[in-house]
Amino acid sequence: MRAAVVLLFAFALPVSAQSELELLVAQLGSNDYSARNAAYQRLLKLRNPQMIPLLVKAAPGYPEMAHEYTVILIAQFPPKRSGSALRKLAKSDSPHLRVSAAVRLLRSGDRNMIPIIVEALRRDGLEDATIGNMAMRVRSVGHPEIYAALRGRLTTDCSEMNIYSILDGFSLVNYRGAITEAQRIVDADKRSGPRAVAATYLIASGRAQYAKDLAAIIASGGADVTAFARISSQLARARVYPDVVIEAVIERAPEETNHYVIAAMIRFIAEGSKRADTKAWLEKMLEHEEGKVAVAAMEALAKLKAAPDRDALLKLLAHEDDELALVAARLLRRMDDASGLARTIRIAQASKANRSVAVQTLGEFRHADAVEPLIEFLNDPSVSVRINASLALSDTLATLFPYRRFEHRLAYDSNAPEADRKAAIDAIRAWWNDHKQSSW
Amino acid sequence: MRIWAALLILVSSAYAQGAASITTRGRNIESILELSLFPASDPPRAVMLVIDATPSLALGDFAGRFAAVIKRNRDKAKNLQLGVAFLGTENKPLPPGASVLELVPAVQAGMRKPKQQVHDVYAAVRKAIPLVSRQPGRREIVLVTLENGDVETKLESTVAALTKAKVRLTVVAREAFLSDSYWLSGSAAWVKPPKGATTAGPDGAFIDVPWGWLFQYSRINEVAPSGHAMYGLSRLAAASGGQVHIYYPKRGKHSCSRLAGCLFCKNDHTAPYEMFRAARLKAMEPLLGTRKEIYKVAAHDPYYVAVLEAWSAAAKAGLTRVRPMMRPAGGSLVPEKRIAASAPAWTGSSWKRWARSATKLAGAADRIAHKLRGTIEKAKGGNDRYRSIAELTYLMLRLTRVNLLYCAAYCNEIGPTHFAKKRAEPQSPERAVVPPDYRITGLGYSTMSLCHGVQPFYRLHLPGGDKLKQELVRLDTDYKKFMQRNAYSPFAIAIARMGIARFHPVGIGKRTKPLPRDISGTDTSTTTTRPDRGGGTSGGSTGPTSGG
Repeated sequence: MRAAVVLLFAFALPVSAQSELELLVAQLGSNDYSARNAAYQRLLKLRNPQMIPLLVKAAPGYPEMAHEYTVILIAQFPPKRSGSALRKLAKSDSPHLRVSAAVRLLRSGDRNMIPIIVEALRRDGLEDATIGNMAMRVRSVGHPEIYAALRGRLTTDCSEMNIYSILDGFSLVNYRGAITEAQRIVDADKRSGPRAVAATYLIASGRAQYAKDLAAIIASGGADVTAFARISSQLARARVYPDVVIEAVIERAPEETNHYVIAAMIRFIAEGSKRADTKAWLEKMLEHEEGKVAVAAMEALAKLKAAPDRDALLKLLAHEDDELALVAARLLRRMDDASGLARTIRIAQASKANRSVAVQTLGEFRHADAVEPLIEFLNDPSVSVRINASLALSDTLATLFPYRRFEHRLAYDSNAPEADRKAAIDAIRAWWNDHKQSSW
Repeated sequence: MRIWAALLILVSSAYAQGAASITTRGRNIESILELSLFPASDPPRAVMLVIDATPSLALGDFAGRFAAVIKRNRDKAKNLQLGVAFLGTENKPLPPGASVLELVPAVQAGMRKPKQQVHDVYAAVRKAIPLVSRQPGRREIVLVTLENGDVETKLESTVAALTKAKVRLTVVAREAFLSDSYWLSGSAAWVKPPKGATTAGPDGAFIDVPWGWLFQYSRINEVAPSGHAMYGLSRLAAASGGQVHIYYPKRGKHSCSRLAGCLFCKNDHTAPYEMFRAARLKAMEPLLGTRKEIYKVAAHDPYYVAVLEAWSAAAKAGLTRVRPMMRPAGGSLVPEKRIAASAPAWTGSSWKRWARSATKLAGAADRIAHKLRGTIEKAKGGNDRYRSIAELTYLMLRLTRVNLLYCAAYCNEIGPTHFAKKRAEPQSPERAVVPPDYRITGLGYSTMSLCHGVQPFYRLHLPGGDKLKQELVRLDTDYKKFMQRNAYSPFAIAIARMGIARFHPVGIGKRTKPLPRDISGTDTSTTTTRPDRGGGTSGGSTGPTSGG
């Protein structure tokens, strides 16, 4: 009887493994992100080579978002097993799948893939999303032929997002070959966002004369959140902050209505402005009615090592906006002032929205007064609060007791079942009660 | 005697110019090049640009920035005869005379393959002098070297050659560490300097700050940015009427402790005293006369005489691992040949012996500190830098005393419990410090940085009870007193990177297998490639930004 059961399992196991693989490969092509991601994670963990033919068969029917997953899953196997499969995919009808597989082979040294990628990039009738996805795939390949094919996409018909993505990618790898295309966009494109990003690319490439164009676009409010993020990151990478652009940002900020843009502007000014009144300008922004703007101003001031003085921070600590009060508490703590500890504990106990950040901030105080509240938060319903509480408590106890050693994360698992968590919390509480008065 | 000393200091300070008046900080490379090559007044000039092409210089795109400056100012170049020479490459120097635009490709070619090597920049300056000395108008050399100012050859001959040829030297260099002991401490044991070179990296003429303190993980002379360039470079610029521009493309990042993490933060600490103030830098600037002149000043300075006395006594007692590198003789200072001192060994397994030894040393530290304090309080006149060094030495003695008392307390209260025969398993979530089969061979330590001051230590659970808490309070008083005069200066950063020691047993587990032989470890050859010392301008790896 026992032998029969063993035999049954011996045959049954591979069959069930195969059917699981099939299921997962089918699920990998799902349009639902979480289902797709779960399948990918599971397949990655299984590392079963039998998935290769299944993936090659299924991949052409997948949405583009699953193509890179497919390629990564195949490429995890040695070239002997994965090479021919990737080559098959590089001949696929789907241009994006073709590019994904060819880029992977090119990275392993197969230069024959360059014409395949170039052909796919130049193909007519491609959808905007496909162009954007392909631009992401080839971003760091470092081959001028491929970049030349990609820059051919930089026309006035190109979508805003793709112009951002392509020029940002070029700037990231320091590719300066798209000057003509960028100049054409600045001169002829009617959309302000692409013109701003193209002007930024030109400035970062040493064409300082385009700073005026960029300044004009910013001053007229032509750079939205995405465009401004691209502008500031490109200029930061090139370490170029033209004075006219700084002036334009300072001029525009009071009129800007989108607080995310204002916050980005504040970060940009803090990074690039050499004006003597930068600190004063940032301090003025502290009074902005929108909490997020004031938070950005405060963080920028701290970065400049010009944080507002203690009195101003104490005033902000009493602000009704919890987020603002937490930043003030944090800045005070960085100045070795624990005045914000009590308010941080209150926010952590009362504000559900800010609890996770407040608990994290509590840990930064490394203070005995934070220990008991942190022990309580180990049993919070939110897993992110529990994780932050366990990290914060580990750091705090390690600081307060430098001559003692503790188990990793205090032998507490934030994802464990409630009963196990409770047992660990009881042990931590008992230890604290026994040692909080001890000399060392 | 006192009048004579004051007179000598007065006379010396007249000829020994300080570094602060010739040093600029915080400019970017374009602005430095613009200032040096295209100044507001534009008399006919011949300028030789001498470039030490190292990776750190290439990091800031020196060639690109140079091209941008030349292109922007090409109309102003009518009166400028510019030449360029590179160190460490076989490219021939281009003497002044060619069109400035032609130099752009030459600089790009010279910067193409930068090397992290030890170069003799002083010899390069001497070689460049004849290239400009025959030119009409004003003659200048602009030396750009971010790594090699500490390898000196024929310093005073170079000064004489510059003065004789009436050539002004402008230096673009990185910031030196305060009283840097890099070449002496063993940090650069595997780096081979050029033949006949003197290796000297401090901002001053010699290593004037006592170092090698017991129970400190970082060397006090290799952690604090000085606000100035290396002495040799500053001396050349000052003597020839030139300037020093501090520049480093990498921006330093604050780190409370150089070699370990911080107990009180995640290195996001805002330490306002780390922003240099120009007035403090000026007051505590290193002197730039000849070494002989400076030795005389130091030998007659009441503060520095007291420092030498305290340092010698501390080394004799075993509180520092090195003796002073100079000793007073004939109204001046003369270099010592051997500076190693015998420090106590914390090996074996005798907790009682260690505790006794630590208590005895703590007493010695107290006596030396007390005597030094008395001298500092009585001294009048004297150089501000030497006063700061005396105050730093006093504070280090106090800190070493506290560390020794903690050592004794640890040996009495904690250490033996880890090895007690009937020791109980620690209560969860605590775990044992040493495994059950651990065999002790010595006493080890790490340091808890003083970057946040002494007060945060009050809330820690440390051995020693109330008696040691009182010592901490006393140390806090001394620390605050020190900061009153030395905050916003390199000396404040130096003390902040020191720490209170935390002790632990050192040993081996009985079941530990012998380590495999490390073949690479047997290589004792030297190299001309120097290691990256990290960090950026005004900060070294600790990274504060000078206010300046």
